[in-house]
Amino acid sequence: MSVPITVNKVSLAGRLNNVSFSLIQPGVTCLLGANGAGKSSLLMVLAGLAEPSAGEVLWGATNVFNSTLSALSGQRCYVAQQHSIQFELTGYECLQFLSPSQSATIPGELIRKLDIADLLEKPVTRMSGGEMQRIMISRALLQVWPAIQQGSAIIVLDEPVQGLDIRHQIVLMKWLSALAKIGNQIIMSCHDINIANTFADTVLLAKSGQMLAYGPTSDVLNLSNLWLTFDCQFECLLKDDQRYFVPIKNKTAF
Amino acid sequence: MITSAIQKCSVGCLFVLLLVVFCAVLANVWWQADTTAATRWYILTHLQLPLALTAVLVGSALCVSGAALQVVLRNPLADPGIIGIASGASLTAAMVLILMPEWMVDTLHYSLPMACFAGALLSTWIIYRLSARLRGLNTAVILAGIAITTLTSAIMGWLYLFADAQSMRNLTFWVMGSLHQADGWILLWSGPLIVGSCLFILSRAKSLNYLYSGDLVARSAGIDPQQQSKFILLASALAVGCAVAIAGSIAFLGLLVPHYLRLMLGNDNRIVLPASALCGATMLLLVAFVSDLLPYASLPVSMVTATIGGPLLLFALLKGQFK
Repeated sequence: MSVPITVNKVSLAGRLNNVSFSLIQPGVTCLLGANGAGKSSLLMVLAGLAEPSAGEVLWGATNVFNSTLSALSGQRCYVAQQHSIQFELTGYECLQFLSPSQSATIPGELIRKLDIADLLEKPVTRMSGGEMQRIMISRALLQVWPAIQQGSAIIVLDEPVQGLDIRHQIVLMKWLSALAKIGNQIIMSCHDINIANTFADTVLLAKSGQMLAYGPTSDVLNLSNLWLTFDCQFECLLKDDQRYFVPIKNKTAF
Repeated sequence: MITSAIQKCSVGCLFVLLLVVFCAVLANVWWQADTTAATRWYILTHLQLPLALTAVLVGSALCVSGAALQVVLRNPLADPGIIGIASGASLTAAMVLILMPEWMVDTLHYSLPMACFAGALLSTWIIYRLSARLRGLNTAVILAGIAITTLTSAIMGWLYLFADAQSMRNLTFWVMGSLHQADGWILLWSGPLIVGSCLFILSRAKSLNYLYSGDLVARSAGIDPQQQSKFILLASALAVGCAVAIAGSIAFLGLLVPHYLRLMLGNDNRIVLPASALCGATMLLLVAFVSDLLPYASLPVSMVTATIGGPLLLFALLKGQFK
């Protein structure tokens, strides 16, 4: 019961300019681009958290900005790039307060996959960046857990692997891919081209508030598109039929 | 982990403690020798009952507002006294007490709470705008509170300069805060407003839980943080304004009671808010009880709360409990 997403001629003052694309099939979609390319703004618009100055965002046939926040919250979750909690909430409290009934028990699968068992008693103010990120991803997924089980959730993550160590990055991305296979839409931004290349089904390339290219990962991720997106030259290495992109030192546009 | 059962049990214990201290304050009248039954009844209904009700209303108003303000302003140091809300209310109250013409004195029981509410609302609005603009800068909000408090003190200084001797004495005692100064009429006007605002804030406990993680997360979880914050701030300003009208400005209670309750019972506002109301009320009832035991003096309540609260706040700061 996957939900197709259509972004139609969306503009957001000074940050997005006439962006259009559609994600019909469920899968992992990775948004790549340099700093200030408009990735976070696009994710917020797509999640229904920032209203565009022009254009529309459709989830299925529903215009997101004609729906109430509470109606959207059962279907879509969002992980922000930065987290700021001024109080000494424990990991458990973070999850509990953001779950729909504020009393839900935490699903074992969530605890195992995000490896948060040891963090439930720890105050967030004493967590490392990566630990905090795992708790924030868990709380977002808990918010739409019933929709995830049904394969109808829209999971929007702004740089989810930021701060995570390699093992947690791989476990998280493998799990997100598995969730996408049962019908959930995963849309995330990321700065690691090889994470996108390995796990994303679709890639969107953004530059200066516009879409440079979007489509299947194997088509969009190529050396010329990467040069246009990042003003930086890459080398493509092949190992066991898998491509790896490595930036070439001293070959940037600056 | 503090389980839900322990949290609920603690709130129950606080309620029982409140009832015990409330009865002790009322029962004080029976310990006084050489009084007739009629005199005792008069003291009970005209002195002890208003005193106990004042303590309950003011204690719960300050602590519930303090707990709510801390979450809405994302600042664990927010307290109606520290961030200038009580000072705003005190200033308008002082203006009413000094500038009100004699023929309007009969309207004090409702004009004083209304004036305090207006002052509290104005300071709350200034602090809210500042905290929205300086998100994450805890110190800026506290400094703004200090600026508001200093400004209101300066204006009150000017008012003193032009006040007559009697008004000056009234104002000085009122500013120090006393549980004995409320008469039945002011209680009748302010009581329902305090109870209504506190109940409203208690009904928003779940929304406050969402607000812990910031506006964006709260929006993504389905609530409108701006709208919720405005209603909660309005209710807090009303509760604090009425509390100041009844008992003057009382420091630290609204900061320390929610802070220590969060340390002991966790951060769930569905527990912290009712526990703050009960604990704040009990604390002020204890002050009233002790004050009654002193033979020749009536203790200004803000003096007591500041004497206990100041060192406790310094201790909490030294322990690094406020980050």
